[in-house]
Amino acid sequence: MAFNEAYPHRKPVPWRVIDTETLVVDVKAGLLFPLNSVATRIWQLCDGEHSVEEIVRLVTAEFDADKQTVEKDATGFLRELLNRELILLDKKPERRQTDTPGTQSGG
Amino acid sequence: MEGCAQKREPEQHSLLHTIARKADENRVPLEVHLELTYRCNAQCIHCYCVVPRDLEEPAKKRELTTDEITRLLDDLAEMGTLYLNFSGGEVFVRPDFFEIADHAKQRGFAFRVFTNGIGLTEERAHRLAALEPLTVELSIYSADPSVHDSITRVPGSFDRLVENVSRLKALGLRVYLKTVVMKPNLSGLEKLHQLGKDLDIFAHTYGCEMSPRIAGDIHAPGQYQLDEGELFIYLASPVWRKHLTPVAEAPTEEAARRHLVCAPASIGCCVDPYGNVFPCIALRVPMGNIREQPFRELWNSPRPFLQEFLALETYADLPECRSCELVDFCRRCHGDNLFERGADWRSCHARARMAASAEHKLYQIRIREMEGASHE
Repeated sequence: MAFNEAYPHRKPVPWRVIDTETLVVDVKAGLLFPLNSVATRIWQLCDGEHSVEEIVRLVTAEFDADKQTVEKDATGFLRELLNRELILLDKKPERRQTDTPGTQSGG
Repeated sequence: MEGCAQKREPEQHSLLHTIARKADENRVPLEVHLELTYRCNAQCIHCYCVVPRDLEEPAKKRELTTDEITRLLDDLAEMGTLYLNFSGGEVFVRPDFFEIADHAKQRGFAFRVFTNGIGLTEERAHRLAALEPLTVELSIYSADPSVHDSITRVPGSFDRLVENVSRLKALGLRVYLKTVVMKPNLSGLEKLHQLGKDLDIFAHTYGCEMSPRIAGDIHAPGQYQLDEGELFIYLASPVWRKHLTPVAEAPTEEAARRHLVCAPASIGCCVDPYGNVFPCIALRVPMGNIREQPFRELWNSPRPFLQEFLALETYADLPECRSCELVDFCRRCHGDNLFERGADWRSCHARARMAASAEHKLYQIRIREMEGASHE
């Protein structure tokens, strides 16, 4: 499966959206990841319903950004999340119960 | 004060700083310290909150029920709370602890569990591991079992604690040891430090402040507080001395302007076993009670009584601190000072000054050593 065709979905880790940014806790590693607004949107789209390609397209449109830049940055970010075991990659956009309910606060 | 979530740190990471600022502006209680009970299976001599044995039954009846706590967790999750500290007393004296912790996991919190390790069994350790807490933080006072047990006032508590540290580690949990340094255990700290290394725990932290007791004899813990000479002995020992890194220049009056004070109830608070919400663990001025008002409403209500605390930004805003030569070393606590001095809380916090003075003396010695070394 090509990376672009994979459907990332979040693993059940604690996370909260604060306005346009996000805090994600990697409990296993004991680390806190602060995400900026673009990374937050990517994280939100890691719901198992969007492929990497779709995530890049949506983020490019929503942030009115250069597609190549978004593709490079988003792919790098998703690979980092994958390496840290904060997301999984799947072939099909199936409904899953793996996520914890992160909340949107103050936004 | 253990579990203090109200420190206002200088900007170290811009994105984290931005998020903390937004949490403050949007009234997000990012970290909440939940004191589930003040009952405890130990009776530590210095504890700020432990309920005496003969008062346990009435205390138990007043505690929040499981439903009240899970409703609070629901509110906190919806308001954006990320971190919870489950504290006591001793959390495992509540038979519903795992029900509460499981609910916290379902609601997506990252939580820490504070315990004395006495009541952890094999079964409980496995249940705890399954809940994946961020840390399990255990109180230890000495590597000498008789000293530890004399502080907890529970024979055999040291052996059970050490056994449970090994048990928790074997299950892959991130274990912290926490020590309060006081008169009865001062002489054994290096052996205790070595024990932490031998147990291969993730971290071992030390504090040396006796907070006042919140009920009964408020000054009782104070008799165990290290005096300035003892604080100096503690700080100067080879184990801790290396952590006191001399800065390039001696402190000046400008230091007071750089040195931020804490900001109670900005992005965190403390909830006691009876539903009272406090701006932090130490500042025992209730913001309200969740039995009388939903947390969200209480948290978002005007806080006139807090304005005088929140108006302070740096130590320069406190008259006595402004020109104090110890300001760079001081870690004063508004809550403790309010408790001990009442309306005069803006004045110098005597205990903090004593600790700062000991650190300052050691700092001066280190500076002289460094200057001596550079001339050799």
